[in-house]
Amino acid sequence: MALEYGPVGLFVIGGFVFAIVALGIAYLIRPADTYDRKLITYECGIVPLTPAWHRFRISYYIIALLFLIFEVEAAFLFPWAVVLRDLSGPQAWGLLPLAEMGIFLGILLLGLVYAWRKGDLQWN
Amino acid sequence: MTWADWFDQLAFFVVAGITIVAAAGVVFVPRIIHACLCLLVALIGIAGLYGLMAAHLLLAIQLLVYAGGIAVLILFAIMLLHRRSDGGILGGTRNLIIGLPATVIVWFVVAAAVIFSKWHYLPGGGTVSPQADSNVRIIGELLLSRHLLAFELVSVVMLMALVGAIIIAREDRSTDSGQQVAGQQTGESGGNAQ
Amino acid sequence: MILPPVGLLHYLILSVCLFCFGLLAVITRRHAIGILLGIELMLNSANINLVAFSHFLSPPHPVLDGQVFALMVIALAACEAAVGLAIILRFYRQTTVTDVADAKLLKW
Repeated sequence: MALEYGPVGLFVIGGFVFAIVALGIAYLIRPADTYDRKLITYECGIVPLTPAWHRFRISYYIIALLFLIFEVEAAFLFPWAVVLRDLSGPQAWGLLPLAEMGIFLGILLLGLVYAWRKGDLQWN
Repeated sequence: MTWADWFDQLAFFVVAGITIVAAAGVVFVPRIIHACLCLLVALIGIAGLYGLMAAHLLLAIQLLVYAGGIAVLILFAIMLLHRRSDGGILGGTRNLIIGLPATVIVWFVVAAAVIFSKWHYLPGGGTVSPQADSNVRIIGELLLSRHLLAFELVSVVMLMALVGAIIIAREDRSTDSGQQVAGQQTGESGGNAQ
Repeated sequence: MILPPVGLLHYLILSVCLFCFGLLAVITRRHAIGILLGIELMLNSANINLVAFSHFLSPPHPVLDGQVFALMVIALAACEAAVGLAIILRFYRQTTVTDVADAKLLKW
């Protein structure tokens, strides 16, 4: 059973090995003269004025929230999409899956409409 | 014991070990942001367990929704919470002297219940079911036929969570005039839906 | 090395361990988000149970209701995390408190 995931495991191991080898070689051959100005946060060459840990606006959270909810919706779309291919098969379901997912998406779209109408997607 | 069986066992114990260690990290690591990263590792380990149980769809969804969505949302919230001027980050645990024995007792009770239960009364008798290649198709059919009501109700719950979380989290527009949008109702206070 | 093959019991014991770690996090963590992390861990242990029963205890043809339930649990966990974090953010904005022991406005 686990052997089916052999390629995935090789991919993961390959990724780790690649990162370790690349960073290790870079560590070995790079010159190591660090001083304070070199260690400050890199911001496109501009000297940073404040620490990076601001309190961010709550709008970021609302956008992330919308993303999460619609990601869950996308997760439900995968099994549905596989069944949808049976539309013309021997066990034809007709347009039923389409209608069921239409209701599902319609209910969730109400949430997006709400956020939009209330101005939570406004960025000012 | 064939080579494949041996590899199955090795894979289970490696993945389970990673998951347990990461779960312990969620409890005992002092900083909350490190605890969240530990949770991320544990969630990925659990996705691996799903893979070992041939639940390929759940593996993908676990990585997408949990590791890619929920854990990141929690990290996001941690960054939204703290300011440097608040005097550092609240971390650590309390009541460990009471909590640890209580949890160990719970562990022994539930583990004993699991070990001494008569699983062979159940259909299948604890044997491994044959693997289905069409896992995703079967889940889709179940979702759209037998569990249709639950499926649609999940969308209602998600709508409520979305709207409720937006109402709770949103800034008060009545107090912050810079946030007002033209044509928008103002005077919304606290968590009142209008 | 002779070990019993990995079966239902292995997964159930693992799930008990994860549940207890989640419980411990809920009991002992000081930060409100730490409690949320513990709840996520407990939900995941329940999911492992559902998938394990669906995998190991099905009749000859696969019965995947457990996986469907796990899917629902994942969706509800997303909702729970979203609302819980919104409450924590809101509470922090009004009181600048993240320690659950300091949230005692409604305490009798």
